[in-house]
Amino acid sequence: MILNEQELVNGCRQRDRIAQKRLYDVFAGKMFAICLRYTKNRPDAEDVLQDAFIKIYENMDSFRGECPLEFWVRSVVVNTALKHLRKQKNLVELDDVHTQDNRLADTELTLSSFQWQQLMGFIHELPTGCQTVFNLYAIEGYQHNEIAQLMGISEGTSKSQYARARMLLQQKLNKEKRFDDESVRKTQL
Amino acid sequence: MNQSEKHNFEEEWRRAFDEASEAPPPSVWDALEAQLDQPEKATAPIVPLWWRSPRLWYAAAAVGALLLVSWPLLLRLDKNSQSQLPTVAVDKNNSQAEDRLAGSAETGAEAATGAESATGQKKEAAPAEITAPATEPRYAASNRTASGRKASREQRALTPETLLGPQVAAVPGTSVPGTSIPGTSVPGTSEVSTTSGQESTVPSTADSRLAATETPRSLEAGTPMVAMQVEALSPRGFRELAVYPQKRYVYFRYDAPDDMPLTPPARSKEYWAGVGVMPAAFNPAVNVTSPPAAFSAANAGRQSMSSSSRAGLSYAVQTQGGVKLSKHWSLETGVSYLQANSTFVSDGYVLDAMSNRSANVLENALMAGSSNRAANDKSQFAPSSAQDYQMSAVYIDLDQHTRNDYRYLQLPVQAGYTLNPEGKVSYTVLGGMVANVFLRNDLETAPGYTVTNTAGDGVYRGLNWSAATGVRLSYHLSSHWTASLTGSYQKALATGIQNNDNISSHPQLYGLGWGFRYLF
Repeated sequence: MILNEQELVNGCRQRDRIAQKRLYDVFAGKMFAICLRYTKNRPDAEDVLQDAFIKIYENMDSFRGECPLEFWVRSVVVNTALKHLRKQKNLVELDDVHTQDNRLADTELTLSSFQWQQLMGFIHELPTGCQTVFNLYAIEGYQHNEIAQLMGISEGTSKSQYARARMLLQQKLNKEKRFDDESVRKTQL
Repeated sequence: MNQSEKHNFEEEWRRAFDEASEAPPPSVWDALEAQLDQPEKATAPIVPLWWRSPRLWYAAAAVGALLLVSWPLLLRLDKNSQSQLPTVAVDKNNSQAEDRLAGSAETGAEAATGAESATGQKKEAAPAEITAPATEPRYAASNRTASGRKASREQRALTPETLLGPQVAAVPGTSVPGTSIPGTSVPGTSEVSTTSGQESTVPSTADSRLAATETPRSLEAGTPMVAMQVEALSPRGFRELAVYPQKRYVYFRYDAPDDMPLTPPARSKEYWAGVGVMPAAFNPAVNVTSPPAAFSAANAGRQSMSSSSRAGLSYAVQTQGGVKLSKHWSLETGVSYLQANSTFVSDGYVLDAMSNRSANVLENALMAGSSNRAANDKSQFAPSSAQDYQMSAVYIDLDQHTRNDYRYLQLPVQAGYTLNPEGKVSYTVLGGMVANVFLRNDLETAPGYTVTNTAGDGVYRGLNWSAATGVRLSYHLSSHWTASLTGSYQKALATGIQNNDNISSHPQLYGLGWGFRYLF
């Protein structure tokens, strides 16, 4: 039985288990990927996903259909992830960081040669603050002032954290790229 | 790094994770389902740990401090209230009477204890009260001391029954002066005297019910004490509280959505109509520019140039209508009938020696330019040639004042700017044009002889424009009626005489108009 979005919403509002399961099946994969981006390991991501879906079911009445359901579900998941991080006190001590070697970051690399799982690994290697700001700014598309409000930090801190995340990711990408090139050359030889 | 590169970087990352999806382990749904299946936990009763909250301690301390401070004040107020009811506290007889009235509701045990507490009284009274509390309550009540239940009795004395005391006292045959006097004169012995009074009063009453219940009260009602009591229980006079008006600024706008544009209420145009009368000073300002032929022939050309006009008392009857264009601006028009009177003054006149008729300079000048001279009687005065003038015209050097009256129909169109438009008194500055439609001119050339010119004669312009200005003072009598006083000045823009080189006229008018207007 295929339910459309409105039927899913109505079913979840009526605590219909079939609709809840259907909603989970539709969005769990994408949302779990998001949870993985914000956390450091899978168990944490699973916890966040579970909490997020509980919130989604409980607060389905507040969804007014002003945006696609996926956007609303996504925002709930991101907020739950942020709350999870805050609970773990990973976002408490975020300060401005100074990125000194920005030139390296300027050399752009295309990401087309990377799988998202590889990129997820790079993101996991970032410090938690950088990871969160990077996720919010680069992927979710929030502005720095919005991130500052979400995380309870200053806008300047958000910017500096993002700059650092960007630089670290560039370094990792460059390193990975050089490694790939060398391996290709060796293979050719 | 430019902005586009920056966006490229973020765009690439966004695109890389756009379709990222990874199925969570089934355990997540199991846990989720288990959590959803959990019946909603009965909310544990919230134990108020109020003692852990410092705020409550502060509040308790504040209440305690308040009580500490206000306790002496409360005590003082209590004393004051007691002192304001002196007769209630002192008048034991009355309170006992109340007890007797309420005695039917009291239990026998209560009465018995009252009897036991009485000093030196017989205990037989107790069973009597148990069996017949309504008929014989006074005995037990009189045995009571005022110490134990004094307070309650004082309170009961405030019941409406007490207030009915004087009415009961008016019942004939119930008052026994012999018993009441001792009870009041010696309060300490009131129990004894009342008891003795009972024995003498009860049989004497005609109505047994009244005797059983109301007699004691009536006994006391006959005393001056009752009057004091009633006076003490009379309600206090009303006293007006001081009112301190407070200016309030209410910012709350009831049921008005924010996005609703605040358009000012559409103001409908206000129309008004009015009537008035305007006394005025009208001066035709007739000016002889060149000597008429008769005066030239009489060698009086110079003298003819020295004539002048004097304003006479004129009046105009006005009807007006106007529209209020905005808060300050208005446009008005109307129709006025102007009776304009003036006097023409000349140094002399010419006399026709042949016909023995005279003509002043104005008359002569007007006739010179008249298009239908033959139709005018005075044209007969004019000789056919200058030579004839020289032969017959004689200049008489004698000042001549001739009446020179005009009648116009005026159609003013004026704009007005009103100052203080919403006040009781407003001021309007007026400016505009007046179309003067010439009706007729009466020129008195000699006593009993008048030359009349109408619009059809072609002497005067049928329509002459004047500039007008003025100031109006308006007093708003009501929302519709307004009285106004208007000072106006009008000055003709062109000469009012047509086709005449010998004479010009630029009439001007000063007027002070009174009128009423009705605002629709």
